[in-house]
Amino acid sequence: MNRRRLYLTLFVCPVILLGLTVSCYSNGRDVDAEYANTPMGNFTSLWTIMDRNYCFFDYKKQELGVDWDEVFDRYSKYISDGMGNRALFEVLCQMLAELRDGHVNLVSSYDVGRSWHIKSDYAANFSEDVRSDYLGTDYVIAGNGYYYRILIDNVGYLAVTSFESRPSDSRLNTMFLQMMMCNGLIIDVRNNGGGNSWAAEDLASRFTEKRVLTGYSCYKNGPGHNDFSKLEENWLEPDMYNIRWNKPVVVLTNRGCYSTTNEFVNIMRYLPNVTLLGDTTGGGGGLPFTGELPNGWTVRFSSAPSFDASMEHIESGVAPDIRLDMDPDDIKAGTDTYIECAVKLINDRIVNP
Amino acid sequence: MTDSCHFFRRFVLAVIMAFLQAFAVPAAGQSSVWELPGLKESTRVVSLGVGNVYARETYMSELSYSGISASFNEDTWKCYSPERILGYGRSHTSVLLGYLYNRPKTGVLLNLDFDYFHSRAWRAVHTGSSDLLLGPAVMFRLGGLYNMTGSNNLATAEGYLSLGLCADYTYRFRIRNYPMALQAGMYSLLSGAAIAPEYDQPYWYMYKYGQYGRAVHFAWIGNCQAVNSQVALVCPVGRGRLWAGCSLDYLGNRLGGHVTRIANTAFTVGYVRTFELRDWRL
Repeated sequence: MNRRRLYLTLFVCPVILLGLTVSCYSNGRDVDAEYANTPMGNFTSLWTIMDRNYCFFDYKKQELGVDWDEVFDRYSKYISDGMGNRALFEVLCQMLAELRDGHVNLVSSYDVGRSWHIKSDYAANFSEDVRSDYLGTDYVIAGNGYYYRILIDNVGYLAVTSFESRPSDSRLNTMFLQMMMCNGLIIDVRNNGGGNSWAAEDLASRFTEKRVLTGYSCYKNGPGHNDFSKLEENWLEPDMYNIRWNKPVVVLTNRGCYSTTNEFVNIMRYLPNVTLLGDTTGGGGGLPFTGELPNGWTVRFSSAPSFDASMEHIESGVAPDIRLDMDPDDIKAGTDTYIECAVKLINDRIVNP
Repeated sequence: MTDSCHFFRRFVLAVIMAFLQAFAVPAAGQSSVWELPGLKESTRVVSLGVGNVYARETYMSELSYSGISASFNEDTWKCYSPERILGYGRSHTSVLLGYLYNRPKTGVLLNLDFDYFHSRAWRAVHTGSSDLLLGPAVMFRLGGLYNMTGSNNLATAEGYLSLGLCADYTYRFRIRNYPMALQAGMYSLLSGAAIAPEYDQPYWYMYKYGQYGRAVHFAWIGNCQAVNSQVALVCPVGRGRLWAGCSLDYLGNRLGGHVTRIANTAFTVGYVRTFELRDWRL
């Protein structure tokens, strides 16, 4: 009896193993082809990664006329087996630059390809030297990238140069307490290239007393250019456990406001008592992700788009409430047109409402 | 057979014999080195493994990495009631840590996995030289690949909770006076739930919007294969028993619109203990 069971088992087990093998094989058979580590393999891999995962193709086609299939045809002509790494890197970067997206980067061991037209093609509207004059030397450092002081016109001034990290709650509380007697607060996020979105939301949550709808987000749920998940609402919750600011706020913006800073500006515009002053932000409305080419280079690209509360893209930036350009004569004189205008706005609103 | 193959066989045999002469001491009256545990008994194998791990996934882009792995494994056999159909228990627990790099050596992945499988088994075959346990199993695996070069996709998770099958085979034999046993076991997933992000779904969004449900998929052997198997030689060493073998741990799936494959092969060395269970409950 046991011997019969043994023979039966010796028959059944190989059949199960064979079934498993066939199943594994069929599972792997139709998976995405692995690309060769050749110039054409790397080119095709990069094009395909973008084609399947980049989230703004339709928007870029509408805004810039970019046809990604046509881009393949045009740039594949420059690819040859004998070309060197530098030449390949150059061609791949040029192909990616068609998208004019600051979140799209190609990273090799010796360079980072980037498209910074969103900033370089526009007026800077910012002078680091002039801002330094306003901050002086006795400003307070609330955290990495958070510097503040009270200006002589009794207006608080907070320069946020990066959202890579966030100050502790107690440090922000201290800042608001120090500025308690000020007429208003200027938040200068010019040339802030972004960071972590929770740092931006954390700061913004100090300027509202109620829950505010600030936009929507989704992600790609398929390889097609229009395959997106349903939109998720982004709500800003007030920080109920810490000091909140209810006086006028002016946010200074320029084209250098990118990525998380773009998101921060978008959030702030829906808050009461907040005025956006300056230039349209640089954009960067997609959550960037990283892919890898067969030769080990990595590509960063926007994969999950964000929208404002009107369901409009913020990829091309957020327009200010009051458009303003820096006056070159002011810069020469060491005066920041933006800060002066913001001080006037706040004091006019408080002193002469 | 070629000369080199013949030489290799003789070499391996010589190494085994030298090892046995040096270390193996059959206990007095010991006729077998491996028996299924009796009632109120448990046999436990604790082993360490070192091997090779390969990972391929297509979340965001094609990643193909390979490297080295280290694992801690514990296998347990219990006898609940030999008369009952599913009277035996067989379980496997392992923790695996892998360090992987891509072919151009520009990127590094870390792999951490925790596995727990438990089976209630039927003694399908019981002869003087062999035992075969077969039975249903509950399989659980949770782990992740940590990508050192990713921006917002630093890590991807993989895992499942499923029902499966377990087969466990033992063959007893002797080399001269030394009782030996060949022990082979395999768990295979049949059906359950597996986790994988929905195409490009950011893990950050799962947390932010509570989208965990979209990352849980129905898994069956057609879209998710998980096999854990090992073959080991058990031989007497001193008063104990040595476990030396190799294992294959494979997870492959096509869920959420992308592919994940992780295979780990390892050499394992451990010891075998049989002991009585004190707090015994049927």
